[in-house]
Amino acid sequence: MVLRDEVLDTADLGDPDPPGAEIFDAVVRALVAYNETIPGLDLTLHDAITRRLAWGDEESVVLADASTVCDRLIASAQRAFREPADEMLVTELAAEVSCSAARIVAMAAVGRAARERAARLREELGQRRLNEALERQKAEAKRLEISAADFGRTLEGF
Amino acid sequence: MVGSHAELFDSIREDVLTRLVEVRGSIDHAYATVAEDVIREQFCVVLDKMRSYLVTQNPDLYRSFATRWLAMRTGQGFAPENIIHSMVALGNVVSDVAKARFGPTPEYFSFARAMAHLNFVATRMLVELLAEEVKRRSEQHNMLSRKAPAQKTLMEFGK
Amino acid sequence: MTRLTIRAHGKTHTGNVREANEDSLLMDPKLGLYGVLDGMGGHSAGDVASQRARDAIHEYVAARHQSMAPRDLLTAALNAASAAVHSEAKRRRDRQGMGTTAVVCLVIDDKHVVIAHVGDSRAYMLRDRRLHQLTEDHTVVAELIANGAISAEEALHHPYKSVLSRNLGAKPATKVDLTEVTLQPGERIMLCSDGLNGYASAEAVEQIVAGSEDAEQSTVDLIEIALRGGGGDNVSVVVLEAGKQVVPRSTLIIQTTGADAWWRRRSLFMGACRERGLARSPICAVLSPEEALEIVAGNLCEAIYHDLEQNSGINVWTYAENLAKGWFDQGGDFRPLRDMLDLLGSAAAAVIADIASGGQQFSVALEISITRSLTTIEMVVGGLLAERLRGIEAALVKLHARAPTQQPVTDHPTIPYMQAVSIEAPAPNVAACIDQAIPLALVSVQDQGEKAGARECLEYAANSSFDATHGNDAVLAARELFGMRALEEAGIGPLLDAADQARRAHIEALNQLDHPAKVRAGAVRLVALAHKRLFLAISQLVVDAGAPISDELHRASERTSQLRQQVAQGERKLAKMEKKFVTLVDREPTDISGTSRHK
Repeated sequence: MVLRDEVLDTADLGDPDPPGAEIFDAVVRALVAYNETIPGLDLTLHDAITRRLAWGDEESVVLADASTVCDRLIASAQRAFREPADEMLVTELAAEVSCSAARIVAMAAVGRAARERAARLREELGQRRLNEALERQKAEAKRLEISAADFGRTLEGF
Repeated sequence: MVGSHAELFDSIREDVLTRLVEVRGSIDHAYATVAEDVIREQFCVVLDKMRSYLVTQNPDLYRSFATRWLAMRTGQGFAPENIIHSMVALGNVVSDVAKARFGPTPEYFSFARAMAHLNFVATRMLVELLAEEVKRRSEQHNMLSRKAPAQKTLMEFGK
Repeated sequence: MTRLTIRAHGKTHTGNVREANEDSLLMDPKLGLYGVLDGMGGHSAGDVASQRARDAIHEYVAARHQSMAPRDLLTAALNAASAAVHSEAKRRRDRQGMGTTAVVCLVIDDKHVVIAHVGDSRAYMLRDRRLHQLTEDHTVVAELIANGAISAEEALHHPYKSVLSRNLGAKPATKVDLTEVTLQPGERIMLCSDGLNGYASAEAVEQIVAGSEDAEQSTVDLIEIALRGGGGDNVSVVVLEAGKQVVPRSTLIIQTTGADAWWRRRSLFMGACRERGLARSPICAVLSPEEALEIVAGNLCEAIYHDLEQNSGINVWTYAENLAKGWFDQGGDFRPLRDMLDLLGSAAAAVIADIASGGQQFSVALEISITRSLTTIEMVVGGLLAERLRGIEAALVKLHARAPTQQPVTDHPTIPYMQAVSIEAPAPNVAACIDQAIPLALVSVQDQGEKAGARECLEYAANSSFDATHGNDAVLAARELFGMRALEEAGIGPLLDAADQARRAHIEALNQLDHPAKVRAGAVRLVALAHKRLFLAISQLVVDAGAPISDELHRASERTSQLRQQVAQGERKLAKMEKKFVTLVDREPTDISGTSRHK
């Protein structure tokens, strides 16, 4: 937890959940679970990043945070751990987690691109319908004028 | 009788509008987040059409409006079935307000019958328009399916 | 003050797709406490979360309901539940990230109801036969709308519209939303998980809640309608009912005499259908004439009868769904169905005319009810057509939207955030360690089948670790690897897999070498950083490749918005013209027969 404050600038920023916290916490989880499971998708990390993106954080910012946290954590580990084996483990997992985070961002971008492609085409379908509606409006206005003329009046006359 | 339906409609119009704005979230959840003045304007347009139909009994005029209404609302992202439901709900609110005002009198029942008929005609029309749209899109899809070649990405070339 | 009797019933179902039910119900009539909770989390953690929360809420309320005000009580109870779930999630790795929604109500004096909720399980109230939603979903999108960040229209297509912004268990405490209502006789409260609103249309739900005999029947029908709609999620409902509403006299007459009058004219209805050629419809092609009459006309007659009796619409709704869906599923066209519905409508009109000719007083009210039944049938068909339209549009979009191969990104400008990196040159022994690891790592990559790009990733990482001047080449290397890939999962996934595989193989190879631990630690550090730089550069390129698509969508949305404004303006002008036209028609003098003298 000492490393957490240092790596995330918690003391400076005064925020218990500063940007990049999700990366650090994911490294901690990975350390706890090391050798218990094979590396796979960390659902908590996935949710945290998805939430950041949903709230409008740019992908570049999330990637930058992942990179910064990884760099700082590896630097801190080099300084803080006496045993090289411990340092190597933290280094390996920091790289693993920041790459996982980057993968989540990349696949979210792929998903977003697919949805935006589809949304653009739906917009075009909608535009087609609206153009048809405009044409019908013009035809309707003409028809009303002709019908009004049957009554010997023009609609503009009112 | 046709004339009196229109008069009855006019006499409850403001109450109907107030009620519609009140319950708009129940008519369609998306309406709850639309500004009140915008939604009043949209409802006014529909009420005008209903009144016109009560007077003219002219389905062609109504059909023309229904086409444009469907286009506008689907363009805004409303689902077609929600658009149909909203139209029916609007008609039902008119009948409910009339019942509250006039009670179970012969005038009310005659008006309610006219509104039930209007709702039916409007719904049937929207269904027809939807069916035409489905047919158009199916033909488009069939045509495009015949034309589109299979596409490969580089990965499939064994890079 | 009138004291009402509150009756409640709850039901839950796993659905047609899920293997386990992660929903939980909370029902304590003595306390007046009811709730629906929808758990989430992999590896069956969801059911643990919802049950843990349910038990925590119940314990809290049971212990304190006489000493705390209802609003404070429910807020504290839900926070206690959040703490309990959060604590459980921390205890076991396979439960990390688990959570649950909750919508809970407390009935006070059999009249006042306080509702507390977190998440996207909902509460509704039935009043004046309309269903009003009492809660706002706690989704990211709903909160963006509330903050004015996006519009309701944008929300409909937002990519994150299902992401929750609050649940019980994500944190030890959470913000709880509260609502209060006062019930009148005949009014109902419904609590439900998103397995209901996700799979049953709003109009069907409203018809069921408004038209069911009692709370128990409501819950049975609601579950049924969700299952029929696909049942892709667990579904849970609780319905509370306040006393019984006094039924208006005209409605009673329809329910008894009207329904009876309709049923006694069953043979008239069937005869009218036969005369109009029902058996010749393509829809009845596989049936004998008698079967066609019995199944198509007979079932509609019965459905209308039951709906008249129960003052409901569910029977006609179900009939129409079976008829129309069955026909469409066989590949049938709309036209024969339209002809069939018009035929049935015409036969119904013949029955109504017969009832009216007998001078029956209730015939107008009966006509209104039957016209509404025919409208219900149209609504069902409309819903099915809308579903079809969505399917065809999705297929059209898919045909159009195959991802084109991207332009090579080697010509793109440097990605801004990738700042210049200065790397310490490795000590000679570390450099030797890195040097020796490469062949081992390459073998490992080859052994697993040479993944496209893994070799190149290793080569980049090795060069970058050795040489300080290669620190900035992550972007260039990423561009070379990215090349002309399609921006879709099949194009990007394998590249990311290859980069992952290269990193793991490289570090594994270093761990196998016979060098002092400190030296290997230095090598691992440099290699890990190099691979991290490359991976993040690839990810950034993927993000940048999507930018043109966003721009196109933005332009298309603007154009649609302009068109909508034009149509709205045109509509206003047309409305004015029509009003004036109608005034012309209205004023036109008529003769005694009611015919306009104009024609």
